Amino acid sequence: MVDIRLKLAADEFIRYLGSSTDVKEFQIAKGQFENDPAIEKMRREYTTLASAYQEKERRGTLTQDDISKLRTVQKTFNAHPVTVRYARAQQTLIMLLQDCNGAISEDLGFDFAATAAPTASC
Amino acid sequence: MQSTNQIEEKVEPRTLEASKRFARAIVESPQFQRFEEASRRLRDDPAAQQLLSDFQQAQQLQQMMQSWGGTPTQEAERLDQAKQQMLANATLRQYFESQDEIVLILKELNVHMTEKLGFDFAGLAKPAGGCC
Repeated sequence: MVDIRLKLAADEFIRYLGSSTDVKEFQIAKGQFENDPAIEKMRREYTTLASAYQEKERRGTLTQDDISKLRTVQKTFNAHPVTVRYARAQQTLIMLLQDCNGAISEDLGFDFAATAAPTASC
Repeated sequence: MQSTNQIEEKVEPRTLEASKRFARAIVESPQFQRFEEASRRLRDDPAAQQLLSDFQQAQQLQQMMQSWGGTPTQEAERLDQAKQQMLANATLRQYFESQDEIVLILKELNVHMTEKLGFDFAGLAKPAGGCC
């Protein structure tokens, strides 16, 4: 059970972190990425093409045209300004979080994030 | 791990200070203090260190045998025996209990932070590592 002093210190840290430029930019970029109709359309198209690709690969009927179509959608998706903004914002956020984690871990004597992160499944 | 000086150049001072106050609150928590005390006892107890080392060796041997496709019955017995001896030791038991306790607190804190921030702080900040 987390005691109140610890929770208050965590809340203060969250408040400052949450108001930083990098976190705000990430939240805006994430919101755009999740709500942009063109991105949503491309994601659906990619999912359909990818599942058809796997099915054809399994049957041995995959053509160069199938590969090209999938690559084109992937390329367009990756180059879309909303995707680019989101990817950049995520990278910047990760760097900020790693720096904060470094500052916390330095005082603890072990890696805070590695210890506190949810257990990964393979 | 980066030094404070390197971090200071990149993180806003108030965020950095808040992260330091957060770290200090963890360090001063009863759970962390118990873990520190248990770690100190383990460092001062060569017999407990030996039991831990025996267990780790038995564990490595069994994993190696398994990766070679062997049927490590003997190794499994040895590992089980090493584990029993390790858990019967008060210093080690206390160390593992306090470790579980602090890990639990840190995970709870991360859940709280994740809920408030809208992203998994520790999941994103942890060092990249291989799976399994």
